[in-house]
Amino acid sequence: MELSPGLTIIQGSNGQGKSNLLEAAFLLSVAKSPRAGVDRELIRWDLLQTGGHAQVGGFARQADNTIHAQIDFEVAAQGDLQAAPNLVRKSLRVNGVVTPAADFVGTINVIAFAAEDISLVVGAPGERRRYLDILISQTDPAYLRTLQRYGRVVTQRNHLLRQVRERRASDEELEFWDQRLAAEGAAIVDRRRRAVERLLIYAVPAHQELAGVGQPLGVEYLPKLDDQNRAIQPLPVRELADRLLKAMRSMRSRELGQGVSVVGPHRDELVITLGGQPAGTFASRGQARTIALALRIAEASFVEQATGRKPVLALDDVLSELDEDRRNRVLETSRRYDQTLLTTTDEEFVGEPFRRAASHLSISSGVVKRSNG
Amino acid sequence: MDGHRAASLAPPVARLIEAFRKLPGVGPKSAQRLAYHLIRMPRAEAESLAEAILAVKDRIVLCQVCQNITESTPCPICSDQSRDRTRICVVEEPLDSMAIERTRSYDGLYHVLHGVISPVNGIGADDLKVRELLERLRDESVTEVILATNPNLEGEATAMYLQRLLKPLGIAVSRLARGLSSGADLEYADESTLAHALQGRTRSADQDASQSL
Repeated sequence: MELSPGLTIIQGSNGQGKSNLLEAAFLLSVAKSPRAGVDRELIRWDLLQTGGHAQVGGFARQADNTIHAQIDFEVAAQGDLQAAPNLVRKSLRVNGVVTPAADFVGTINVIAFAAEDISLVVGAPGERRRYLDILISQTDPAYLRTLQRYGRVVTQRNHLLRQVRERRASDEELEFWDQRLAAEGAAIVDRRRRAVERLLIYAVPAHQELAGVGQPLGVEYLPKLDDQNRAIQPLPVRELADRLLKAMRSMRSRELGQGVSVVGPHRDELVITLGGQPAGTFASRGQARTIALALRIAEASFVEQATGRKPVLALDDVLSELDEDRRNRVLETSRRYDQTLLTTTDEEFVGEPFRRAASHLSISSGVVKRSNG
Repeated sequence: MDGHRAASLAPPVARLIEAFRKLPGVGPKSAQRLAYHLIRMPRAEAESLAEAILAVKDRIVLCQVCQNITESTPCPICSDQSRDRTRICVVEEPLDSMAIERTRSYDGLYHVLHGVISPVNGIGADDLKVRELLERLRDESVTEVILATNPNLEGEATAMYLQRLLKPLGIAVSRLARGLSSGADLEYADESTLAHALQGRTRSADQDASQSL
């Protein structure tokens, strides 16, 4: 299936597979689904029962070349679950060559807007860390590698903390993992701090454009370098590492008691404010939706600025939630990009001038057809 | 689809596929391919394979000195009097010692840990052949221990543990250098490898020795 440049409107009733198409595009960009937490949720239920193979592939044309991205899922049958603790094995390829996730992510850039984005504002801190991590990973393969190493350090260290507590390991063995957590953690905190600084440059005006003059948007990065999440001044990475190390040492008994690592970027927070008040609790649903939209638009600008390429926008059923004025502003924004995929149950949500210029697809029971709008 | 076939397989074939699936690095596809290959194999060949599998279970022991797998203990390397007995190279697995042997640039002894520290898998220093190493360092005239664990998180954790443990013994402890692989392109090296290569750079005083193109 070939998609045209510019705006493509994909129309279909609920449950016909509109979102799957956008999900596939996002998957080829980030190697993760925008919504599913675990790979197996991407796979059809009957395939999980019988085992087998699933594949998502696509071509992206960029200024000077064409990139082929492909993800293969190898699914073990339910019968041999014991033999395969990893039910779904994923392999990533760019132009046919097996590629580690860190290098795969960001080869194609897709920014996904979805109705669930409101959880960026009202959801748990993990949602915002994920937003930030995907944002940075799309522009910096080293970051994703650091994040992967950091995740392993935290897992190993948490196990060791519990073993020390149960006297199955000695206190001294923690030293190595403290050092690693501090080193990898400091690199993440530094990268996140710089990313948020840049993000603000795009997010504040994007929000103002959508919301009009009124309460300004604020985004503040609060890393957890000691017992509390606190804003930080720009610090050298070495100093960040020292602070993490010091915190781990002074909070050892608490960490042993809880059996988990309590400092480090896995506990960071990104606080979003509206007129200085925390948006998670104070913003109305409509305001929260506008903030989420601004964060996505800022993400697109961030990625474009960092990579020098215009990302593809994927707007999954977001228009129906907005008033006409904001719908038009979103569509206006999409014109700055080379390609936008938009799903909707009703084409009426797309303003007349945008509709006329768009390509039209309709989707029914997973079958896509070209239509004339 | 493959899965549908698996559901109606003859039990002996299913059992074989299952057994292959448990091997490291074998996925569902390869397990089936191997099983069907075996079905078509002449009986004599299959017998010799089965025998080979049993032979490693029955005849292979751990060398009482270096803990490597061997048919007779002490193993050929430990019994070879022409080797440099002042050096011990510590590796994670038997295969790692083979890899170092292939370089032909090391003629010291080995010590196989049979694993690596990994709290997630519940493996601590006590589960490795560390006590045996300390025992050897008491008796022998060893002056250098080379830590050749893998340059990943768990390998580094193990190396650091051993470094601390050996420090009071006054034996020189070294670690394999980390850096670029021969024939590699700088442009394709990941940033952490490149950073390590920079940190571990060597002065070009002994350039003559390495310029052998």
